[in-house]
Amino acid sequence: MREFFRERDVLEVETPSLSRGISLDCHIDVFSARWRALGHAHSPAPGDRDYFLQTSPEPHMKRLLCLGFPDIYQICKAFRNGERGDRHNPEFTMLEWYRKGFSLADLMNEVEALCRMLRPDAQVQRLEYREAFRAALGADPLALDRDSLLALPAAQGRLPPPETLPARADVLDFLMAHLVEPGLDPAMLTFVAGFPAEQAAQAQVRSDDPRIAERFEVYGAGMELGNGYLELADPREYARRFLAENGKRRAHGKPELPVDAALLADLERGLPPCAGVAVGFDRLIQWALRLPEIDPVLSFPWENA
Amino acid sequence: MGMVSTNEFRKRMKIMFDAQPCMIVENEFVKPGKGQAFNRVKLKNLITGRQLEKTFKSGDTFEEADIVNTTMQFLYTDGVNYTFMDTKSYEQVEIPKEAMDGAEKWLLENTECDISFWGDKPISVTPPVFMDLLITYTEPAVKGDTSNNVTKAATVQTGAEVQIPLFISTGDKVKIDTRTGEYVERAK
Repeated sequence: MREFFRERDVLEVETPSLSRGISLDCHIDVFSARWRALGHAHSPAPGDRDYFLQTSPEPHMKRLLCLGFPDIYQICKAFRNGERGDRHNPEFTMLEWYRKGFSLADLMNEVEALCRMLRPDAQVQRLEYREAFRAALGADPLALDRDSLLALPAAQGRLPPPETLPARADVLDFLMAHLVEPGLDPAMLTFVAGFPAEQAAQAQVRSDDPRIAERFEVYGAGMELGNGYLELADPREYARRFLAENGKRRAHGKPELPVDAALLADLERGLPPCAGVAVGFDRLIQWALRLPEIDPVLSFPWENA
Repeated sequence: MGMVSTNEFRKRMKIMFDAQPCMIVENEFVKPGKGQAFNRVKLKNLITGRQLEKTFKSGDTFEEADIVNTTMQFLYTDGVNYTFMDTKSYEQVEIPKEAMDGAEKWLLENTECDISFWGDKPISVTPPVFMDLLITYTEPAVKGDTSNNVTKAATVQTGAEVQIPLFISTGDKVKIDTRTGEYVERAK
């Protein structure tokens, strides 16, 4: 892995696991840790504050890029509260890297090269989000509103109670994760690009079609291995999206989280045009070894940690 | 019984769903990278035996079902009820034929069975996987039998009918797989 990046002149970095701010997402919950300014015996104290275990190194790595770093990669722990299953461990390892001046296609090619290094015989396919949706559900996701999506014949009997999917984006997410993704050929490594703009997270939208985000995901053996973007640069747009995510959190009855002010400040210096990708490292190994579950790849799975 | 959330779901856990006790057969946590988490669960209704698939929002809570499994020994039957005894407490319980689910076909005196109770209502009786039973009647094998039959009908000591190979005779003992009612091999 390190050789792969060394050959490509991508610098390895290490960024904090604990941070004052968090990259906001409605559906990603955090672990927090209490900093006791004067030590345990004197808490509570005015300097006490909560720090958050990072859900991804993205904010810090973007700050490094704003501060003038070259292309960078990191293999580090990420923490997501409440996520445990055959393919989820709340503490997991992320492989994340950023390439200045790359297009999304360039980055997809590089992800493919990395995957081929692990499984040389991998068969790869590239699909547009709309295509994958149409193939699985017989409908154009960009053309339908929430109610029409919920009414799709292919989805009947497989939906949760509709109240759990209040927004169109929620329905799209659900259909994608539960109906489209599992239908992708598990024997293939599948790149899906062209996600709807509502699911852009920290990606730019396509200049020729603002309904579509410059975002791709890569799937293998029925699971999401990675998520890549043409990175958004405008700090005002980041702030707007963070506030929107907090609004969604409120709507779902979840606590709001502090916006990462340090990230917004560093973004003012200018994020160079770049494409970045986050890969679940444990899952990547799981895929490479053809294992059905994540636990064998972990030294101590969650319940035994 | 207490409440349990989808985060605590484990295989073989028993919960109430739609007012029926169900067992979790499979539980899959599904969370897209940018989206809500759901649990895709396969449930087996412990009363009807039917399997159903449901998708629950991650974090939803359910009541645990008061299901107890015990091992009990079959004592006797009067044709209507089947009387079992708990081998530890010596408590006896009568189970009506409808709740036996066909298990009565394989029971000998003192056969131990796994019995599930929902509260105090027996909802399933599982006999041992294999039972060695005496053939009480079957047609004798005829030398030079040119018929195309591979098996013949036989009655075992419990009164049940099974299909056995032609070379087995009345008075022989056979091992039967109680899950399928099929002949496995000759027994000693």
